[in-house]
Amino acid sequence: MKVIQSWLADYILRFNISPEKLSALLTARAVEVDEVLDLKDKLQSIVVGKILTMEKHPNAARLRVAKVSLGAKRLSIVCGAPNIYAGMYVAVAQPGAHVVDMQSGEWKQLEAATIRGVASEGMIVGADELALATGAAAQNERLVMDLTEVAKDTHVGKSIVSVLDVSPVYDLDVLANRPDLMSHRGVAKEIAGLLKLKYTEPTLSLPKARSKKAPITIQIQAKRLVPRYAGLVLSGVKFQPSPLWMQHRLRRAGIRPINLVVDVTNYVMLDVGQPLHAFDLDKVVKFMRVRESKKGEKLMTLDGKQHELPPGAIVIEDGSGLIDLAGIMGGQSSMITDQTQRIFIQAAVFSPERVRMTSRALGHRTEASGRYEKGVSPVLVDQALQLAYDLLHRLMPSVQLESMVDIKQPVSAPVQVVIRTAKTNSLLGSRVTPQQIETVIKTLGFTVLKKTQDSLKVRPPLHRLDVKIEEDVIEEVGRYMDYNSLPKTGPVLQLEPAPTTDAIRLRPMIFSTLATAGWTEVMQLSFTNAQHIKLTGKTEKEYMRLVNPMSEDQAFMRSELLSTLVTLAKKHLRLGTTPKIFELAKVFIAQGTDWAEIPHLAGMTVGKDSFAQVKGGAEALLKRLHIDQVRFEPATHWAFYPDTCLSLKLGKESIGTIGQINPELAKQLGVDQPCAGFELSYDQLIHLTSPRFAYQDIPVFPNIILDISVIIPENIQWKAVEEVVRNFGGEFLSEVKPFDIYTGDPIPKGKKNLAFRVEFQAKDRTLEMSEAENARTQIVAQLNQKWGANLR
Amino acid sequence: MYEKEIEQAKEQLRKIDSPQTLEEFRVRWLGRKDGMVTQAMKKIAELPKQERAEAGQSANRFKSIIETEFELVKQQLEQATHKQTVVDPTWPGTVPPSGSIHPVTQMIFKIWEVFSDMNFKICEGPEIETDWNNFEALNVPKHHPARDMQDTFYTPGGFLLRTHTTATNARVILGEQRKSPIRILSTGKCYRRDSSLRHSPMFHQFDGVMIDKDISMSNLKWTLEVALSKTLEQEIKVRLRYSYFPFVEPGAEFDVTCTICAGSGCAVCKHSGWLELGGCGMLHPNVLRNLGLDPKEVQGWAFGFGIERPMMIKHRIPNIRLFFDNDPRFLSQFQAPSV
Repeated sequence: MKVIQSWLADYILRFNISPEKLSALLTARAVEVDEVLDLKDKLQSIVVGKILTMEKHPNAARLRVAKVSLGAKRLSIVCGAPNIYAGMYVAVAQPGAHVVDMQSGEWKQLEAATIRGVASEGMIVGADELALATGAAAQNERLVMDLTEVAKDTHVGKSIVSVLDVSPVYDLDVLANRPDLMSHRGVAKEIAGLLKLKYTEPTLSLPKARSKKAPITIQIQAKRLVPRYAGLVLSGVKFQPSPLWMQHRLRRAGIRPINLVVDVTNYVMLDVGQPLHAFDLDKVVKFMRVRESKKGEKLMTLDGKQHELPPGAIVIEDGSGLIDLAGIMGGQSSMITDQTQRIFIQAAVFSPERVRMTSRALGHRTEASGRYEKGVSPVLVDQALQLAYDLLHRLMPSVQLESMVDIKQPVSAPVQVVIRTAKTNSLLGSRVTPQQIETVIKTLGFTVLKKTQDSLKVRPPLHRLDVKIEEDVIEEVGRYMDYNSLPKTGPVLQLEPAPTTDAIRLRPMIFSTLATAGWTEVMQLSFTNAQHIKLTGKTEKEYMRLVNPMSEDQAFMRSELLSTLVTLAKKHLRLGTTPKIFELAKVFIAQGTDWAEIPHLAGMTVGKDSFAQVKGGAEALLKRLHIDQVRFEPATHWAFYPDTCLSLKLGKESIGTIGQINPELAKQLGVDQPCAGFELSYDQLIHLTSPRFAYQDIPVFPNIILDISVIIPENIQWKAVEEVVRNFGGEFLSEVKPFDIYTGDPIPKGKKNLAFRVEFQAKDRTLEMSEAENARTQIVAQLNQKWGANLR
Repeated sequence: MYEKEIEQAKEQLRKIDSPQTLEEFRVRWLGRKDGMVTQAMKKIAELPKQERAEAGQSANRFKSIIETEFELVKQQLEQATHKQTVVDPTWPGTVPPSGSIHPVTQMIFKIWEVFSDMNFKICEGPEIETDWNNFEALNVPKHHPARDMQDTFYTPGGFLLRTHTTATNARVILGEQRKSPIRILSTGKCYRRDSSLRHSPMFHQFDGVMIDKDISMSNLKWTLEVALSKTLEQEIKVRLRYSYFPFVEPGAEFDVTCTICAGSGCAVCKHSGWLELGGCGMLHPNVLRNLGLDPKEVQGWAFGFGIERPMMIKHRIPNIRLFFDNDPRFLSQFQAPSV
């Protein structure tokens, strides 16, 4: 909502405040000011000029060369606007002045130019080029401002500020519960209250209508959705433009002037807050019926758009069909044209929910629907119709009030609220007195109905639909005093342990374990797309598709993390970084109409030793979490190369998988080198942690350590060797660990040298060296027997 | 006594130029079995009693001289050897390769720490939520214009991606059926259909709630100022602006000074000098009732702020998308979390 300071000043006595102060006041206590447009300084250098003569441009059919008087001097200006004429007073920018460049929307300093071979000593400017038209009104119309209505010869050469209002425009971000601030009167009322100034509005009234009966019958079928439907039938309407002052205010507030009738309806809406609509009554066939739409009904709104309606939209039909999309936009069939003579000006109240529903369903938002959605107070109807009549009659004296319509549904009694001083202070943490509350509440237009020692019964002003309960009134007190004036007090609560889950408590430790081991945490959007799913070889069925994604690129929710990490790795590699990345995030697995949301911990890295890195990462985690029962068992997984895939298992339950990523898949995802990854269920991992681990006595007797180095066939895996060692290492074998693997010269082809360390330990005595050596002999003999292993 | 031997030893020591010759000398003179000194000491035992004292003295002197001289030469030799290993002290030290924790996670951990210290229960919840937890329970019925403020992603079956972690607080309170006192802080991913410099369709929030008999808006101000100063590790200026969120009454918008421009106005703060962190206020009685609490008995406050925003403030990060692009040049800057 854009409000103009001079317009507000129409309703506030002695209203004089700087834009900065007003902005700060409104933002803290009433409505956030998004932007202040203060043009006073910028427009000083734009002057009033008078077009003396006009000639055709020698080289361009659409251009003309105007001789423009600025009083002391005359300029020759090339102009493309179709609406210039000799004798017209215009706004002139000379070289050096600032105007808005319509292409970029930025302010630019004007330079003298030669246009198609003719020198132009300045520019005749339009409202949009001076930022005197905003929003929808700023669409380049190629028209220049006609100041003839307000400028005289004495103004020529002076700044346009002498003839045009350029007071600041405030762009307000009106809160959803404050529809009363969607109008100049409403904002003026609010400001007057906050500044303790007097709010005043003219008393207008309607003349006696010439007839008691409307020329057509109006019937309200959707009574529940239309609490009030009123309007004026006016005759004697002529087609004419609205005066400059009205056009100027409309443009600055972002509304494009059309013609007097339409402009008045818009002007009243901006002034009072009540949306109006003008029907060409001669085009309405027989009757008007306000009802709910049926699914699929069609209607063309006056912007020429054909709508297929959802069921339940509030519509108006006449004898020929639908003529109005109530609360949103009128229909084309009954719109105001240059032929219009009789009009019906509608001022109605429509259900906010229903207007919002329809507006969203059609993707059609208008100034009217924006107000109806938030709620329009039924009290505005009278003010709006009075003002509309007053303006039309004043600007078009032939207008006569033929008849009036006012169909009201019974309204609920006005809200009464009790506000207690104790509750106010308890909720705000303040120390206000009943007198202070009373003063604030009255200043904001509330009526005090009853007073006790510690409470007030109040009635909110009629335009404040948002105030319904005690807390609402307490908020009024709080914001009026300014929340920032409230004290800061520490809460007093019972002390108790703040319990949390292991999934949360252990996370910093898990993450720092991984980070210390060289892993970098990444965080990706939870979305994925059909193309990526295809690359992974999975099917869309496993994925949850959003009902209303932002784009097809983000249409699905991730069902696994690993593939997206590989895609990210591609980016890291391109930047010359070796990815060693992990992520903890929810994955979403579609299961028919149901779904599972599971936190996964996944990671990946690239390089020849990537598998060892990944396994090491997993082992480090298990160790840090005191999970020692988990075994790595061969498994299969969509992403991993079969021979390298291991499942982390406890009994039958698997907490996740690690492995070398299938080279084909990696290549599909853009990584053309060996890479390995892991993907675990975070919750299962946490579930297996044990808070306690058993202390084991330190051995009293020394152990014996022997290193064994054997040559065995290359394809024999460590696990098989370890099994043999454990089986034949004798009763004192306490530990077996591999520490080196070597292939190449001088080891024969197809063989590898494997080195491992064995430890022997007895609980009750010092072992003899010979005992350990015997065990070693046994082990080597077995390895030899099985795979022809030789000691090296 | 032993003068001749001492001279001889000194002569030999002078010739020592390697660990080997040093070792040879040690074995010859100080060796446990047959070293000259050991032999001298052994001989004392063989002497008649009355001679032993004097001989012992001489032998000890002999031993001490040889040992001292030996140590001296040994040290000299060691120093000489050290010099041979060239150390470039300007070479970078060996640091084990380290990864990093994502800045958003670092902020979450910090928030957990600060609010745990203040006795809050730290919670997380599902990202796919019911309409009830996310909206209805929070006094936002269907077709309420406030739903426009949180443009929502819907999932099949009428569920949605939570638009705020307030939904999780509602879930926890409903689940625990606890009366009071309630102190909950939830963190996690949230989703809104919005994408710009300041908005990402996925972002993170932290959401706090405190409910008891006499909890006030001034408690909220105190808690937020203390907790946010600790979280952001700097004294911050805060302001509360009158605002509207259906779940709170009175309601406010919570702003902190923009540290990118120090309040003078920049693109990130929309030239206002302030950064909106989010909404806060006193829980609406309807919300308390919806959560199974009696507004006549208890009252409380709630707030919900973005997590990326304070991170952007703290580290002057100009674009929210940088958090989810995972550029290594971005991530590596957060290797060492602030202390």
